[in-house]
Amino acid sequence: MKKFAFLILATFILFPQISYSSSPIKIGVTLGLTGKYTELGKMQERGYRLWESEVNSQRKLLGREVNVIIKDDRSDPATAVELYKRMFVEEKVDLVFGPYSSGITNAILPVTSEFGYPVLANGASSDKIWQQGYDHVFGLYIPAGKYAVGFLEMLRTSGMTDIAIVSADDPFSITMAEGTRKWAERFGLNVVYFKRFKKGTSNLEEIAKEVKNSGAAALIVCGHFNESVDMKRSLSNIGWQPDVYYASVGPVLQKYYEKLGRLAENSFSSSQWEYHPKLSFPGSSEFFGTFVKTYGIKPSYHAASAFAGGTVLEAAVNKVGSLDREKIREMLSTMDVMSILGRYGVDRTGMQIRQFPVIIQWQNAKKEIVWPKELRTADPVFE
Amino acid sequence: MKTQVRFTDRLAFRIITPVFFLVIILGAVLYFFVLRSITEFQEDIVTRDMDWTSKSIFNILDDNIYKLMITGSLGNEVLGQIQKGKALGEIEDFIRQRELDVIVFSGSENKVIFSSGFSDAYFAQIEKDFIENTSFKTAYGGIEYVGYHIDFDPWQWDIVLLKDKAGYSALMLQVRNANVATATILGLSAFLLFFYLRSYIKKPVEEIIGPLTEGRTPEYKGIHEFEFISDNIRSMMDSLKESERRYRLLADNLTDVIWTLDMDMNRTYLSLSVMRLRGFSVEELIGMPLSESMTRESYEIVRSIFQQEIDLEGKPGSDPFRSRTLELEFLCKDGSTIWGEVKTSFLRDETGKAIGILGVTRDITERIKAREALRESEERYRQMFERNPLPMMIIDAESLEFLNVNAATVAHYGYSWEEFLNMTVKDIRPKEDVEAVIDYISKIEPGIDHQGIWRHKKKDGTIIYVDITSHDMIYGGLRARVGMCNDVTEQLTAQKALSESEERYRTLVEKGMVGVYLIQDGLFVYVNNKLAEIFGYTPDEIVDQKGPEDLVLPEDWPVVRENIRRRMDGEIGSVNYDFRGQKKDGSAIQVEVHGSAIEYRGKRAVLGTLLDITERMRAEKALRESEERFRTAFRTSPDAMCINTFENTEFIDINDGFLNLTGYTREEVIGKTIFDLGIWHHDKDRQHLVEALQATGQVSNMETGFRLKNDSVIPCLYSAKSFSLEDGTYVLSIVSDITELKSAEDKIKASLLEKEILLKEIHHRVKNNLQVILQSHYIKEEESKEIYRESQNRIITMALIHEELYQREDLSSIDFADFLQNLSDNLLSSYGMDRRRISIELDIKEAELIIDTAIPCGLIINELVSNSLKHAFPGNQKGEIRVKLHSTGNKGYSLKISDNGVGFPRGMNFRQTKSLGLQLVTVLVDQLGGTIKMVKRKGTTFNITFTEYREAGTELH
Repeated sequence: MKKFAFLILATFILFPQISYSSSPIKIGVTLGLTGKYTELGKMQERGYRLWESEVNSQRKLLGREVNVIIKDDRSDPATAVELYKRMFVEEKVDLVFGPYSSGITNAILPVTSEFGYPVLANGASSDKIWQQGYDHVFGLYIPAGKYAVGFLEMLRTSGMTDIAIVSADDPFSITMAEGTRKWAERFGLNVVYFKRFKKGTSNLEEIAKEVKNSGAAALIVCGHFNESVDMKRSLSNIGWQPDVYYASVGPVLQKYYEKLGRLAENSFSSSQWEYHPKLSFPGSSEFFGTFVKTYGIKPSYHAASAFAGGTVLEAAVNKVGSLDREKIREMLSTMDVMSILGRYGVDRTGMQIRQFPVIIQWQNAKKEIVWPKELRTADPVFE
Repeated sequence: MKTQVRFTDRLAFRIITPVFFLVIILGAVLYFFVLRSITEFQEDIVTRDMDWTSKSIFNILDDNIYKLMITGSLGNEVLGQIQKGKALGEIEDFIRQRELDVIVFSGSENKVIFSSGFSDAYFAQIEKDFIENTSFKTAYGGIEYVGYHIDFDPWQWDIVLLKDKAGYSALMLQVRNANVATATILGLSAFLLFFYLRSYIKKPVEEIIGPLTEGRTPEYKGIHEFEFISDNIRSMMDSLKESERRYRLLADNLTDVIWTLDMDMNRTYLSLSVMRLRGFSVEELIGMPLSESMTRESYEIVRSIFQQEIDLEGKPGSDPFRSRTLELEFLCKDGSTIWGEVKTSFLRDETGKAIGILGVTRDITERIKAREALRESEERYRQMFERNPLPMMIIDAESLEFLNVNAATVAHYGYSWEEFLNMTVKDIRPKEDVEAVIDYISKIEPGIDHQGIWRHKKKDGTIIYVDITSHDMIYGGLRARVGMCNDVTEQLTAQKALSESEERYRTLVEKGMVGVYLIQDGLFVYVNNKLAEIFGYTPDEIVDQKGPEDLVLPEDWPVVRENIRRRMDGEIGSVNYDFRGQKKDGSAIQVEVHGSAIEYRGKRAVLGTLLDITERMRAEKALRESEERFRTAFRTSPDAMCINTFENTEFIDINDGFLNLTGYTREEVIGKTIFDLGIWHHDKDRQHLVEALQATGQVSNMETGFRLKNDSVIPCLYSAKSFSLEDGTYVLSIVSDITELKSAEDKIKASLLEKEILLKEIHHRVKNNLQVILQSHYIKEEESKEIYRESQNRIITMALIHEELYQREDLSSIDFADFLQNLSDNLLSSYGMDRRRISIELDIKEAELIIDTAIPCGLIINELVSNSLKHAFPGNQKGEIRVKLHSTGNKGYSLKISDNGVGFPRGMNFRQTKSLGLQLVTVLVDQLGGTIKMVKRKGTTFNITFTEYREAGTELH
């Protein structure tokens, strides 16, 4: 008994931080739980909660529980900046995840840089984020400029040549539109119409008419959920549909189909992640199963990326063996790990280079993987 | 001996500096060699880096073309284009990762198909200089790049990789740091070597030099070369010491002192003889600064001469063997000084350079003393000549030229010293005297000669008389005469002045206003004109013709004769008296003489002055008579009069009236002060008197109490005036007894009081009678009642005035404010007015009215206030009535009665109304001689002005 007491005492003397660090590790993040990113924000929240639950119940992080502090930034960059500041100063969080959307992620970077927090950008893909010289932000998504590369390859091999590209004016959408145009030209496609519109514009009929008049056979819409729905409706309203309709972000969500119904049929999109038995990334099936079981809906890639972000950060912390943020930053810049999203690896600027998206298409009220060819669940349908 | 050595001449400098610079040059060569090597190495790395990168790009392209080939799609245009696009994407990712730039030019399409920001024109520009698969340097947009060209033939792509040279900055920095480190190490080594060599040379040198500086022989053992030097020095020093010993022996036994100085004027050697000469040991003097071993003057000479010699050094033509001889005063150990003759010359080295001073000092104190004594003697004589207060001159006995003159001569004659030396004695003589002078001088015998008084001429032409005494001498080898010239001009002038003075006195006596006489042997031997005139003679008629008896009235002659005798006999020296003289016409005159006995022509005589005092005597008599009259008037005045000193109030004189009034005798009063007698009943009256006298010099009819001898006090009128005499200030006082007058006045006052009481009684009875009238009526009818009430108020008004009057001490006027207060109270009560509804405000200032004014004024106020009470406030209307009486100055008054009621009926003229009250008001205003105006604004206002005229005696109403 005496020996045991001595050991305890010695442990406390030699490792005083053990008793001090028994409190949960606080990881902060803001999401648009209200506002224009509500759907996507909620998806991410579920992903984070699932990861938090899994860590706390199965593994622990550095022997401690984690507490993901999720705050509603109302899909507003200024609010997000303020909330991150508070988390640093008042709540003194140990680590953070990046917020949802490229624009909001971009807005918080000066603050995170000032306070020395590495940011794992689980909800941003605008190339611009990695072109500003920040050394503490690391992407999880394939960059926006490459979102549509697979789709373009598919288009080119299908024999189509004339395409139209429209985009909202947020950073993600702009970057994606520019990248898509670049890759289209590389693949020998002819961009006959290229237009940018103000984010939040729901009536896009004028653009729809112009696309129709341009003679484009395919329309690529660069935007988020609302733009993908609004454009589809606007096309419907003018009584014309292009042969191929591609929209980023929106169609990957179940809600897209729920909103548009049959109108959603044949819509293409790029997904950072889709559950597929062939995509045997570790934990992917378990995540899908648990998510559906927990929330009763299928997870989108937003939820998967939040979960994957958790596992990537977890891996980095474990490799470092402490919560030293500078060491974690260095680890995130060089680390090569697998997550349910695929392979994590960034270039010198922090941009994700090892991930690849899949192309999905709504066919008969179901999301089908149509590219890459090797993972296809159905052949693509061009009208 | 310490010498200044230039730094560049030092051994350390000569040996170490070349070594130091050699190391530095070596370092610099090494530095540039290393720099070049490292730079080449860096460029090699860059080239290899680019080579490696190009291999990676090749790999990307190979992979992509391989995918086409293995699927048999090489000929498929679409798949080929897709694969090329993918290859471009991979290249894009690769260059971003590697921080490179790239330009991809497609030969088949003849255009740049991908570029990370470079223009097509730039590619066209650099394309010409490509050498395949080699690096080159280029610049774009101000940035320097290392370029590398890849030619990918399968797709006809020219790929240019560009690397910003700044990308190698880290490498460059390392190279630079390596260079700096090398240079620093070399520099440091140079310094260490410098210090090592320096210390290695310094030690043997110090071991040789150290003993040398202390006069010992060096004994260095060690480094061969330095040991050789040490041995040689030792050998040389031994022989030198022997030589020095011999010289020293010689020098030390000389009487003279031999010494050497270095060029800093520090002693380096002194022979022992110095101790005999000055008492100091050689050691004491060696350590003593030169400045402290001689007098300051001598030291200054030494310094100056030394400096001159130093300045001469090196000048062409200067004699290196030159010497200087100085006479210097040295300090001895016992505090005395000695004089030394010092001969010096420079000590020189083999090159002729002066390295010190060699000197020999010889004691010349005795010589200097003898020379000084001679000089002092000479100086004394020179001073006697130079500073003699009398002009002295030395002239050449032959040429008569001035050889020297002293300062007094220069000052006296006005010529400068130089001018004198160019003159002869002839030049200072009037022309007419020159011949005589030459003649005189030629005959002068050797020895002292008193030449007597001669005339000299100053530079300004003034002729002076000089008494000359001269002596022969030899001056500057010449036969000369030294002469002293005493200016006697003033004495001669004084004699002349005396005779002129005598003349003036004579005139004074002759023409004077006083008679002057001289009596000898019973006769006037001299009289002046005035005396003759007083007695009606001419002087000639008196002198030697008449005696004093002839000019004196026979009655007074005995007295005069006696006085003359007493003076002649010497009983008295002088006498002053008057007597009656007798004029030529026989009339008598009063004269006063003042005479005394003198010796005249060897005999006793009486000298005197005589004044005719007839007129003066007459005036004095008149004055005496006048004084007597005034004295009589003073003494016999019925009023009491006295004269006191102002200062202490002492009684100087009093008259009979004073004695009669006070009961004192003259003796009891004279010499006493007023305080002694206590005559002032009230001291404040006395103080008032003093103040008044000080202020105005007089007091008239001051009523006061005057205490008599019997201690009773009487009322009196006191008048006084101060006046000043030579011996002080006095006060003449006149006291008039007014006892009876006061008694009469008291009787009048009593009578007046009686009348006042009587008058009050009348007013009282008038008031009582009016009240009786008021109380004795009883009227029933309303109209009659109103009439009655008005009458009643008028009577009350008058009664109140009478009541005010008899209650006052002064029956002439009443306090109107007091009266009005009573009147307003009465009116309010009379009309049964509620004081909360109607108020009467009084504003009365400076209102003391006589009864003639008060009654009409009171009645006017009574009428107008009554009018307002009756008509201005119908029903229960509230209101205010204001009565304002103000003095407008000069007995003028302004009376204002106003109300804020309903106002006077429209169209109604208050002067023509039937109202008895208003008619009465008009009449009363007229009676006052005043004016009345009515203003109808916010009620009714009557403005009345009047002037109160008080006739003489109104106060006694």
